[in-house]
Amino acid sequence: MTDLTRSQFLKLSAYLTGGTALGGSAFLAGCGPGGDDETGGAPSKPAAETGDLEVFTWRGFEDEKLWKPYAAKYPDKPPKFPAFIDSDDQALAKVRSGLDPDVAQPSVGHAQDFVNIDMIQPWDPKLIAGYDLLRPELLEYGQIDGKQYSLPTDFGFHSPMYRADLVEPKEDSWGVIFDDRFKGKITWYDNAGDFLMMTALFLGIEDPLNMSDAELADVKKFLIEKKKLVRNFSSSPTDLSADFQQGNVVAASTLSYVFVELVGKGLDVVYMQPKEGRVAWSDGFLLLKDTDQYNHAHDYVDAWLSPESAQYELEVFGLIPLNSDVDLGKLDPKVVKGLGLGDASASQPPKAHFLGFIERRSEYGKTWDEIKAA
Amino acid sequence: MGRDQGRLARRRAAGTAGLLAVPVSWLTVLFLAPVAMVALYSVGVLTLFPGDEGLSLDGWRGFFESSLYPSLLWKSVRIALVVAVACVIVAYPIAYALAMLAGRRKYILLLLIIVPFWTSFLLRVLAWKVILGENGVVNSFVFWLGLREDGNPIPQLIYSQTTVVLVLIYVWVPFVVLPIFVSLVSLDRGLLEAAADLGASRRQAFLRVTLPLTLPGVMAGFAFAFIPTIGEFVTPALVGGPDGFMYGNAIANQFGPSFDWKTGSVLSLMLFAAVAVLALAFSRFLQLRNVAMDEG
Repeated sequence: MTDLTRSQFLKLSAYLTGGTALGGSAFLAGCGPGGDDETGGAPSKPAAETGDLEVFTWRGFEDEKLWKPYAAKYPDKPPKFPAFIDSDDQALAKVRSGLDPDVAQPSVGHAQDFVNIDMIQPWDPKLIAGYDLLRPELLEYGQIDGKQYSLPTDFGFHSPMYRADLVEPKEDSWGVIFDDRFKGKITWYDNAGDFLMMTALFLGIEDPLNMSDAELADVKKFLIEKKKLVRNFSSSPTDLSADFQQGNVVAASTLSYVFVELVGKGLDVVYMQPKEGRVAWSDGFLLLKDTDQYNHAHDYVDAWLSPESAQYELEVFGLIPLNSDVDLGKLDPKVVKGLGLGDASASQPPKAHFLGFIERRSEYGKTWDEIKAA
Repeated sequence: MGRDQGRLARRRAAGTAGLLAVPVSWLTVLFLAPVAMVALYSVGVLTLFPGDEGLSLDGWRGFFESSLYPSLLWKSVRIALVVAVACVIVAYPIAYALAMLAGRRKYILLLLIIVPFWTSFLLRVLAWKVILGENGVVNSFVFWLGLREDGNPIPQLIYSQTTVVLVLIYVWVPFVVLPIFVSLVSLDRGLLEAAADLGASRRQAFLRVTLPLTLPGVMAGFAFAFIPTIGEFVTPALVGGPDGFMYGNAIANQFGPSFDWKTGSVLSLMLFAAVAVLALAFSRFLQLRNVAMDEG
């Protein structure tokens, strides 16, 4: 979900697909400030903000079309991109070791890490014009102790995908990626948190983000038993896309933008809504504590959430924006159906469960190592 | 006179200290200090997250009590041994042909062997996915020959431990060729003539003169392949598949998605210790003094 290949994939797909994905947002221009003190807690604003606004984001997201209103407002002060995020852990390590951007955009589930190292401050919703129009469940996802530390910019799913022309699952369930009939034609997503959560959902574990030692042992035992079915572990969307197209893989846990890309290529794939629920994830803006670009940072984020930016992100990058008022007219109906667009419940339990902060991720990591080494 | 000698000695000492300053600083700043920092992370004195500090040997205890990591380290050592031995077996004939048979063209041919290293390591590994994939060069050729049915590729050719070994052999062979080539080029041909004069066959001369005298080069080449392979994580991640997981991948996971720098540091130091012990063992075989004498 959040690695180098993902960013490369986004960039590549942006230029290859030319935009066929989703719909737009109806972000009301000029609407009043939203939020309240409970979600904000805004510090004092600097009187003058000289220097550059520095943004630490995924490669491909430096595209000016994603922050066009900001460019229009500050033509002489375009944002700088001192580095790009390759993965969430790398993002944290870089900020921890001295990279000093004003805004960073890792996955929302990692906002707690940045709070823990005391490097970020909450956003002021009053300075973000369309804050109230964003999906409340996503905004809540970015809140820590009631404060908007992470401002989700888009979201996507992790769900089972299969080649409908080659296989027929027994039911709509994560079980398709553990099905003995597809031995050697299955790819598992290579990330401890994501994949153990998927498996836990399948096994009916109540709190997949906070599994006990016994539950982790059950997951490990199950996955080691099923490992013989796996062709490859991969977190590379490029690999997965190629394998699906060549028929080397017929079922996999897949990121939603891979599905969007393959639909664009005319492949007969189904993006399943498993009965156990999908795993969902989101990127989110963080405001660094030592920023001297407080107002510019808010304006930049505001531009990202503008209707035109959201439309572009949807159509070109295949990521779902937070605005719930989406124009689905330009989209492939298969994409609309596959991603559950227009269905407000699609991004909420029981249909989707957002990846959050995993307190015991060290244990998750060791369990994943044991599964892979078995 | 005595004063002059003292001045000369001091000047020499200052010169030596000056010459040593750069490499010693380099080693201190870029090697010893980072290793010390990793050691501090491994015992919890340094931590990724502030507030977690506290001297603890949990990470070390965890390693020795783990059923996974020591065996994974041993697995990586085994893979590295296979790769290094295979590299030597492949590289020696190449180096021999270049040094003994290629005449004046040997340096041009050596350059050609090194040319692939002008491209990125990642690119070279990824190229093997194209070669070994289900629809890759090898399988396509096999299908074309009719040795296997179309759509029924050779199993284990991609995404397996075998693939990792194969790709790593390809990656390290030129590095192994170089020291063996140097040993062969510096070999005194007069010794081979003497062996022939004394009635030795070409095979006997090779086994009793050439091979023993080029063993330091062989061992250097072996070490060049063995040491980096133990810690490999890129190649297994790209072509390893379900059984290609190596010790280096576990380290990457701990420093990466697991955010467990303590365990990652313990694993790194254990790898460092394993490599150091093995390097010491190799150095006995390397017999650096002999190499110096050969080249002198």
